[in-house]
Amino acid sequence: MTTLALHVNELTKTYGQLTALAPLDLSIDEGESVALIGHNGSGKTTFLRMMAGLLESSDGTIDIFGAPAGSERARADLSYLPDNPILYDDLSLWEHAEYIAKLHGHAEWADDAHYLLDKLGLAHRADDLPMTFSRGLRQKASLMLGLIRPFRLLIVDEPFVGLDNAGKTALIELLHTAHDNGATLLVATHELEYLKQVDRVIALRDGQLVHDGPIGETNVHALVSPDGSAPEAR
Amino acid sequence: MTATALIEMRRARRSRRIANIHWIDAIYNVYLAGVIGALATGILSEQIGDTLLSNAQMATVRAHGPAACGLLLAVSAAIGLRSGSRGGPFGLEPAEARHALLAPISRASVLRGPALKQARFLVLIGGLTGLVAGRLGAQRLPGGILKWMVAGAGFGATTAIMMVAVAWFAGGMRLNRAVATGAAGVLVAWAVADIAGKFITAPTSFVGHVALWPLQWHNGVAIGLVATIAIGAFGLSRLGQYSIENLERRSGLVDQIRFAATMQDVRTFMLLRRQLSQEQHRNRPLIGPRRRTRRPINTTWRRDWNGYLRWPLSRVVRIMAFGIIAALALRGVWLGTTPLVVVAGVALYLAGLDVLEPMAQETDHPDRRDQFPFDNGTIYLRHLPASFGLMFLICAVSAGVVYATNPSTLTIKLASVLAVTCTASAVSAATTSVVSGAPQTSRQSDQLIPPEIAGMRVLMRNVWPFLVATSGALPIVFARRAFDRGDDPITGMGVLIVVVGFVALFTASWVRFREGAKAWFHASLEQAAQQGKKI
Repeated sequence: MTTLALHVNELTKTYGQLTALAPLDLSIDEGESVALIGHNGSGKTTFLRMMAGLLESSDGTIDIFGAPAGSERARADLSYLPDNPILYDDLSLWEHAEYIAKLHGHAEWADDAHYLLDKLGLAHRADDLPMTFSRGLRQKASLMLGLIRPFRLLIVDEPFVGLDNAGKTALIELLHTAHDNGATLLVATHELEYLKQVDRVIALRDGQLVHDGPIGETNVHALVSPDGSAPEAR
Repeated sequence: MTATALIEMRRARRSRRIANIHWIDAIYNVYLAGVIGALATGILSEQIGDTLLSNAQMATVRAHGPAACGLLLAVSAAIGLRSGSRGGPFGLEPAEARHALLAPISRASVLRGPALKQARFLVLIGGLTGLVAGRLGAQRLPGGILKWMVAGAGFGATTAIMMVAVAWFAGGMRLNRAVATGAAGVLVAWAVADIAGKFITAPTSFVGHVALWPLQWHNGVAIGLVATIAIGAFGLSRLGQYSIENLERRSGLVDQIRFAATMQDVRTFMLLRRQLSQEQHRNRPLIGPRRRTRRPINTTWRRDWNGYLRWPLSRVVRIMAFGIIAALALRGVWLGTTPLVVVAGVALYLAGLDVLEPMAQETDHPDRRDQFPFDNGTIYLRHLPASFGLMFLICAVSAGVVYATNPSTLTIKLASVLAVTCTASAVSAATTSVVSGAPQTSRQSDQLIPPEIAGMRVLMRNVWPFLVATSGALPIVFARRAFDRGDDPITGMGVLIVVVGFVALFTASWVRFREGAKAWFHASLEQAAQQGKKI
């Protein structure tokens, strides 16, 4: 019997009269690799932040491995990589890694930190303050911190934005490694190359689920268009 | 392991911060704060005088003092209620909100440290303020300096505790914002009713006795204090229930507000504060826009009123509160407490900053503003009539409130004149602040200005709007003096009315010709610098 990594039931998020997320029902099995796509403002980030417990639902529920999103158990199982890196001003990258790994009860973190630093090309900046980093380096630092801690479900918001080609390749490898190690992945991205590598694609349009399944021959451009139409070929 | 990591890292970061403190600078800052504090206390002490209150005045203090102090407590509790319902009073570091609050450890344990630290700080500030107030009050009240200082410090600390306790309670209980605002309004209204009435019934009024214990003790104090501490303890136990959504939103904004305050950027500070309290314009205006008009209306006037009519109720209430505070402060000045003129000035300035919103929108969006076929001075000037109109409306209603408390022909005369001078000064002060914009650093021409003059310029930049705002309230001082001499108070205000008029005209001219004059000034400085290089 498969375990549900994510179970979403009638999930709704409204801001006043604006509906950011219409009632949404969704399940993701443990070990699946899923991509989340949709046009700007379709509700992807809202959905991911609700899973992470950073936003509260207006209605409905989200369960992470059976625990309500935002609960201590869910926070232990879920690692959230946001699209905007937020880091401490007064901690070096190495100190960030130590702090966050230990906060999540990961005592043997140093080897993992070395591995991730090498993989992301950050080894030479380990003792620097991230506030001196460029946007791309901060993004890599944030990725490292999301991966240094133990997790069963990894949710990532637009991870490829701001990364150079080497960074993108390294990230895809890291995501594959995490998946191979048994983690469930949910990645919000428009990176076509990555979409081809996932088991399943979920598409949102104006807060509603419009596609759930393999990408196959589906026209991705139509899925991420606000009105569902694909742009004409030039 | 996990909670220990939090404690260890906080300890390490604290040690590092302490190690990075420049002690000589810190000692100098403390010395400077001490000197300024002593100076301010001395000036206030001079203003208050040292004559003991008369028997009649003492009777008034005994009858209404607890309720007046209770009003302060009620306002403090109201702030706490509203703040707590929005995730306050926390101002977590954004990274702490993102990493520590998403870690699998109890959120209460993450929040408890910052909560207690903040409470300690507020109690210290409240206590010190109360201590000074007690010292000043002792000059005119019987009972000994030490007793009044202890009473003042106790009251200040209680006010601070009241705020954080109620905020923790509201945040921990996840009180709905509307419910919190309603409860805050009830608390304040109840306290105001106590001041006007013969008996005290509000819980905050009973606790208000803390400030007056050298005169009289009330058993309600002990009950009130225990209740406050109980609310705080309960709130503290429910810190884990705080909405992380509110905490995270605040964490980003509080950081920016601190930066804006450091940069003395009043406009950014205001905008962020509005975001913090989730103050949003109405989707539909209070009164539907008139699509057809019989005669053409000035476009800017219409645009400004369209904006005003979309104000949220909270902003309307806030501005009216500032207006009424100013009016009541002026009434206090008339009754003999001259320093209240500063309170009136501050309230007018703050109201003016909100009223100048349409003009501030132009400075917020310079790219759009620069596309209009007018120079900036003309655009700013066009916004002034609507702002003046609205500010006058606020001052007139506030004057009406004072008239309601003391109906007489003299009140009508004084209020009519002051409504105009206060309107002019509030709009002038806010215009100065809005048009000046955020302070600019490292301009090339600044390098030519001697540091002493640059320092004076910074000081004037911050103080000038307050002085202008206060100028509109000053006529009441002259009116009172004329009245005391047996002269006509309206005639006594004459000189000040002319001064306020001159300041308003000067401000309007400055707004109109400022950019041209600045361009000329900077060009002259650059030219002087070039000539200096050649020599």
